[in-house]
Amino acid sequence: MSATLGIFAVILLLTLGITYWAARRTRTTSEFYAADSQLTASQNGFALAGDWCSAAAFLGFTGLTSLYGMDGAFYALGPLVAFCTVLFFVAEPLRNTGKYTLGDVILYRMQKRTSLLAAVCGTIVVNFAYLMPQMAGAGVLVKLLTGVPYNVAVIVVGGSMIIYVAFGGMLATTWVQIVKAVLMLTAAAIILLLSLSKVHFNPIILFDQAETRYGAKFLLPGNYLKNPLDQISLGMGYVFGLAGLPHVMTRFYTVPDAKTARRSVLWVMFLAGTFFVGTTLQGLSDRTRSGLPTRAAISPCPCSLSTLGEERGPWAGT
Amino acid sequence: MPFPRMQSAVPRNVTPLDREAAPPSVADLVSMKVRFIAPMIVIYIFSYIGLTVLAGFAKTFLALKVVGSLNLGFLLIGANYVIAWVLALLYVRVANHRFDPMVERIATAKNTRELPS
Repeated sequence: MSATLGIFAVILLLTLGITYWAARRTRTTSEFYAADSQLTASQNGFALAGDWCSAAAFLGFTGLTSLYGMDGAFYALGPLVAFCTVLFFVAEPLRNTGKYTLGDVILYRMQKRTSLLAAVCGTIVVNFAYLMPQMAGAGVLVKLLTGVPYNVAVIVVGGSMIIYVAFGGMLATTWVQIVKAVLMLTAAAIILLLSLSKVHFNPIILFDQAETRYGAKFLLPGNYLKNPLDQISLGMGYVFGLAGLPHVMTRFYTVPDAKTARRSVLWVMFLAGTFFVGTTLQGLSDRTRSGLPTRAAISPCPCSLSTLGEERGPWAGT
Repeated sequence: MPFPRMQSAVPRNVTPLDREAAPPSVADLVSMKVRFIAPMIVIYIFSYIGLTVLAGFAKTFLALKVVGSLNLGFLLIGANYVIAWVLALLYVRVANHRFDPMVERIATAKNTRELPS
């Protein structure tokens, strides 16, 4: 318990150190909002991956797959495909407008002050819907791993996020995201390799085990998204919705030109895409190795899954 | 879809002689972009939304076994990953080798025309 608390403290100090370093280097508006548009494709790609390899993806996609089978794999696939929309339509024009926020770009395109108000409302609604579950999830996780009370955990996590952004601007945010992406990807890769080593690195065995234990229905769609239209709705939401996420779009103002913007999308698609494939395999592996009872027995009480670090389903869309 | 709003960079009153040597216009660029990107859009939207339609309405089809217990549904999910990656690589390649040089030619032509030399 105290070891995890130590690791938590070390990461917190490291990120606050990054913020201090970034704050000293940040003087102009462009530096604050867009890291002076000087990031390389790989830096921005890793930071984008940090956006995506969030707790909701790491625990949510994995948890959904181990609970509901294929529907979890659909949740993981969506964001990768959605990056095609970002790459083809959004990334380069956003970068080329040379603005700082999504609201600026929409105002520039629409030339009406009211459009800015709409963009502001959208940003607040999206970020509120995003932050609530992320903060709640962070509080639960910190409590589970370190024993710090839930309220204190939420305040510490929220306070440090405010410090990163308010003092370090986009430079600190970017490097904190890069640190997070590296930690997440490394942790996920190690756990996945250990899990796969149990099945001689043959993923087919994972599917076989899942089917023998839980029946063929587990490997079919519809266990979580029961209404057929839900599947299509989820797909549409991903493909067209991702390009409207303010915190993802701000990343495209931090690179010097369109070429770098599109190369950073390529980075995130391969980093996060591989990670998403990993969550599906990890989910199947966790299910078969955790010895969970059949789904019918567990669905009335998701709380029994806290041992897996599972989150509530509707929040899982990262 | 947020294509940047573009006007033709070539002035309307160019003489036929000018037009012969004229660099590609923004309209040419847009039409080339559409020509390359439209098929890519059709492919990824069709394959992804198509898969969600199958997931909703054709479960027995997705249940067909391919290798061991791996069914067609998971195989198509895997295929969608590959499609997204391949399209992204293709797009970046085309954009670097075709779109960027054209943008550069248009920009240089515009600058030289505007700056009296």
